[in-house]
Amino acid sequence: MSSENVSLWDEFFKGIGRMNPVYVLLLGLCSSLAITTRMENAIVMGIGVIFCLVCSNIIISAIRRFVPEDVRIPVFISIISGFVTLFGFIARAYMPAIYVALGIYLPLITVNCNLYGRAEAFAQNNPVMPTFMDGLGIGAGYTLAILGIAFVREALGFGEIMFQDLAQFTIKILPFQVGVLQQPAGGYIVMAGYLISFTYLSKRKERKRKEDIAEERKRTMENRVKGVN
Amino acid sequence: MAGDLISIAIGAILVNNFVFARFLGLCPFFGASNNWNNSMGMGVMVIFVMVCSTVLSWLVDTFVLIPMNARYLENLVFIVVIAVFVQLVEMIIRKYSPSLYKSLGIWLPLIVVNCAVLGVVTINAGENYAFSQALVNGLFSGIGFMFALLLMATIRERLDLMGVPESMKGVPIAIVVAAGFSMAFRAFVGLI
Repeated sequence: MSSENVSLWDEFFKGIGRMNPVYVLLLGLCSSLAITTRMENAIVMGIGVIFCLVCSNIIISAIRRFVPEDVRIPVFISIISGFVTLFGFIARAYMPAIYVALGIYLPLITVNCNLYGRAEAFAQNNPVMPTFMDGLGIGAGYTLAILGIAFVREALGFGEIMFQDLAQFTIKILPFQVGVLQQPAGGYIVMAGYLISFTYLSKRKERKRKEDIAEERKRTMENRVKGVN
Repeated sequence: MAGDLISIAIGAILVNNFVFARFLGLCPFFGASNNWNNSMGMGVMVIFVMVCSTVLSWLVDTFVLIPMNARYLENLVFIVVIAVFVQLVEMIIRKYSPSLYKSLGIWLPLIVVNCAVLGVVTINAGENYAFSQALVNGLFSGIGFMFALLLMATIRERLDLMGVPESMKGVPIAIVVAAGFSMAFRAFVGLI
């Protein structure tokens, strides 16, 4: 039982770190660059993706034995699209300002590569429980990633963090604005910054591990040579 | 009327370029822009699918969804139309022209989940475009996407020969280049 729990948590955490959808798998880039001008939009987008991803993953995993291989694309995508439409209604009713700000990117969650990607790569081959954790983890990883981009873009681009719809407050951060970060180019710049630093860190970690292994091997060899002598 | 169409066309290629201003279709953009041939294949396929699905979804929207007062189902109906159409095209090409299938067909399944196609259809529906406007928007958005792909491919082919730092190889440096293009395309905003 305990080992099963461990593997379920593993499914969850791999989405945040090792298999982060935005920085490692490079999926769902469109929405993560387009709607990250404000933190508030990013939060709602993240909730939307988690909701649609988890729900559609569960359904796809539950019906995986009844879907013929040839028609799986239309079947999966209409399940996903159903949940996206549902989330659109919820957002329109309770967060009208954000619904307008997200614009076409909210219906486009349907074609967010993460959702279809997880259906194809994970949900259609795995039972419901791991699929649920996988969806939750990938969704959380995606949300954290876009929150990171949105924080930099809003804090530097507008000089303040402003919430209007979910809560109402404004935090002043800078006395000036870095205008380029509000524009589409800003999304690419911040994304590139994050991506380069993460790649650099993971490469360095890997190199260090390889050096450690080499060191270890050298030491055991020396010990063995000493032992023979 | 003609002026209106021209401004839609220029808007779709330059001002609201799908890749550099609207952030649509980035996954295939970074995936296929690593060389000229892939970019050509992907671009041609995207233009074709975009134009056809614009026409199909305009027909469905105008003659089925609006009379039945069911526009809230747009998203679901459009994506099914696109998916079915693409699957059909794949089957036809595979049956009648295996050589074409070999060179272009591999891009087809990817295009279903390309946000650019559903994006252009959603924009058309949201703006309530007439048929001619929707067609022009679909065609020139596709051309704009292909233009972006080819621009990127020329740069990335050269980048392969340069000494790029190890942690920037591949996609990160491509994103840096895209940031530059995006800033340059910002200059077109005053055009329309």
